[in-house]
Amino acid sequence: MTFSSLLFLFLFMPVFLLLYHLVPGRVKMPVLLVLSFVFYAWGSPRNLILLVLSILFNYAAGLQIDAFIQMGRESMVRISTILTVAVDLAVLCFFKYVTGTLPIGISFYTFSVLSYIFDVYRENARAETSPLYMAVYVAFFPKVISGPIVRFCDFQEQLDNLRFSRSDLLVGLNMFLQGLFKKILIADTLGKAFGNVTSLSTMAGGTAWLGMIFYSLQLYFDFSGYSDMAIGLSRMMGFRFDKNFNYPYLSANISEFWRRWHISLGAWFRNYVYIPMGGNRCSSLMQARNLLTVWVLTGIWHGSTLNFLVWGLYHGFFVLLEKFVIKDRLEAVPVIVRILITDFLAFIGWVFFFSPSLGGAIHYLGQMVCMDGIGFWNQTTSFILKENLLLLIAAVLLCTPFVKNMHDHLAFRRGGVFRAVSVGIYVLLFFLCVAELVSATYTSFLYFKF
Amino acid sequence: MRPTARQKNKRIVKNVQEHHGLILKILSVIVLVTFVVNLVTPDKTYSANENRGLAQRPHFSLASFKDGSLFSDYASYYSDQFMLRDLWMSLSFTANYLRGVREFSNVFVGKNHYLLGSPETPDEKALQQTVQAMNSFADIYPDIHTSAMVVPDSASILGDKLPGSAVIRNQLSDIDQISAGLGASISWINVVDALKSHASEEIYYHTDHHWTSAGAYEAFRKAADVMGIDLGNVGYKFYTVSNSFQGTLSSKSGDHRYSDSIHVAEPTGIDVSYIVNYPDLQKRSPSVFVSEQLEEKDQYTVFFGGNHPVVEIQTTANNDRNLLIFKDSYANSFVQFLTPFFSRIVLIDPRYYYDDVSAAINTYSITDILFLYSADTLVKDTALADTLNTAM
Repeated sequence: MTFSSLLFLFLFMPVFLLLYHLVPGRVKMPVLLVLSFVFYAWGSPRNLILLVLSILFNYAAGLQIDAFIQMGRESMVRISTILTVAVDLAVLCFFKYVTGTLPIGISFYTFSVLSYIFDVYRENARAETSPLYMAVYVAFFPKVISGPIVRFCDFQEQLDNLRFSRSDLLVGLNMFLQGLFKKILIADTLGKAFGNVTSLSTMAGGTAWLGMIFYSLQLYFDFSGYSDMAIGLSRMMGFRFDKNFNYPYLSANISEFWRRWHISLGAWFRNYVYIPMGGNRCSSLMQARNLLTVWVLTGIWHGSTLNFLVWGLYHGFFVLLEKFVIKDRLEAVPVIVRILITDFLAFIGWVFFFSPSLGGAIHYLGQMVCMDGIGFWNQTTSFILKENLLLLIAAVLLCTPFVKNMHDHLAFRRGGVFRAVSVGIYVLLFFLCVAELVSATYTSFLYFKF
Repeated sequence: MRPTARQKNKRIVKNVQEHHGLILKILSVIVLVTFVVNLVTPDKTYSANENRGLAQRPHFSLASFKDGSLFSDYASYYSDQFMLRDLWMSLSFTANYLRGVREFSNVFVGKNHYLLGSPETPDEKALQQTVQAMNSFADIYPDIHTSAMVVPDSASILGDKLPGSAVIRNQLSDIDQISAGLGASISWINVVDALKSHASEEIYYHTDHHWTSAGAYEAFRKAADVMGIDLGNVGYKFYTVSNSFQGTLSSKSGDHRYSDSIHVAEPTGIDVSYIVNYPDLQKRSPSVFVSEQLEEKDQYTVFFGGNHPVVEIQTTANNDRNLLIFKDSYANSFVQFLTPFFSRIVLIDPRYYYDDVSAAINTYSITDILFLYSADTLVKDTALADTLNTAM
């Protein structure tokens, strides 16, 4: 199931919240687990088997590793950790690179169980003795399909101190709604605009540029909207997770971009790959090796085709360049210029990301420099721009905290009529979301034959 | 006295709590109302706007559970039966229209409430075979007077009604190519100019991909010259039979704001009666109009009740001219003008016709042949070539 569906909004979510908050404390986790399984299995119940196997395997492995730690048998600790990680990665790689059909969420929940194994190995967290809590951590429905990838030690801490107040429910709902609006009203409509561009057989340079911009904005609003919904849902149950995106398109360089984009994935690689390899506390050469490893892994985690590897290396290249060559030499350049350059580089990177293959990406970059031979601007470019101009302006504004700050200032600091207007806008936007969800299923049956 | 920072903070917290709290209350009511309404309203089986059957509650089976189709079926059932479905749909249409979208499912929302489809891209190979088959066919029957008419779609004639800088395929040049490909044994009826010069009139429906009776009439006047029809004193009187027609383009785009009128024509100044025979239905009728169809969603089927493999019209014209028309649905509203001028008119729709066409030509003693197609159909059609090839 996905958050942005009628069934989730009107059935699953209300039923879950009622149950979760009505049942007594010790039944909350079983309820959460059962409904997480329902949420995950919805659509393809077969995938649930693999998820449960992964939970049980890592639960047992965690206890085993912990037992070896208690016994002080260091080599056995190491061997069993390596074996467990190898099995988890082999399963992930098998589906990702061999079969090509991914059980939903496997990239995310595999990183969750790996986080568990690493945290137990490094004694950052207790081995989980309760299979229930272990299962809740992995299958937790707000994050099981698309993250954020919460570290086990953080999750365990939350579970130990789970407290809930009415204000958690309210703040969580507010985050969830903002995420929903971003996903349905901005990302999905940008997606349609992007689809209109890519359906063209030939395009003028400007059209290809528009397509790249549509996609870059779509991806941000899609993913950050989904993350906001996940974090908001968790908050409604009393869990507090860090934000996964922090206005990434306002970054002044690529390294900063990656500290603000999909933050939980970056943190995962930093904590479990980069720092254990020595991080930046070693020679420049080793640092470069560590960074490149992270970027190769980041690339292939996102997809199995060559273009994802190139995309990872592309970002790795700029990170290395910034770290070892540019350093702080660009400080004098106005920050707005550096932001624009960073966005330009990130956007070009997305071309590798959205293209089906490396050849496809190169072809698209060619179209951006008018290789289709129909110039930079034509009527189609104007039409597409005109149809989406308002959307584009809204999306760009929402890439900055401007709208949020303005809203919070008016609705909360000034209050009164502004607060009432804001409530009205929320309800209207919710209605528009429902309208989009209903009309997404609009299919006129073209019975009439010509 | 100015409020202290602490008082200010307290006010902000209070504002946030009440703002979020009110939203929670409103949404709870919406969810509850939706739940109850969805529960108590009986399931609908059909959507007139979309002209399709709506999904019904799926039955549980182990197989559908295992392959996941149970879940997707339930999701479609839930959204198809969601309360006020049509209202949500028009809210979505309106919101997208207001933000500047002018193309919905390949239909342009144009000026003066015109909905305009995008012209079809030709299937070059199929089209070449069709043109070749038409030429060979005409060569086999040198004594039969053969003519052809290919009708452009509304977007190609009413280009000024397209929104802003919308770009469409140049269908007129596709039509030019077809005409250039046809040999000397087929007389070409150039309807493009005739339609263009009446572009300011209601020659196409606003909400449907067909031409109106007025559009068909302009084409008929052009065709009369080429087909050797002497109009003499014959005139036509037009009657409005519907003001509530919302056609295919309306269904496809989701824009239901406008309704078309349908007109039908009766010849005047000549006394010719006729009878229409539908062999597929084993039915006869004294009129080319089927008024019951005006109660249906697709009111354009008022002409002949839609498409049939064969329709035979026997008239009292008694001039030994027997016309065979190979056609698509554009011809349905064209034939009403022809009845006074032929003893017999036979319509063959190759998409549903599987017999030997040479036999039909002999049986009906055909003296004239007309190919009447919309460009949108002809450029992708394979049925016409198949039918014509049965004669070779």
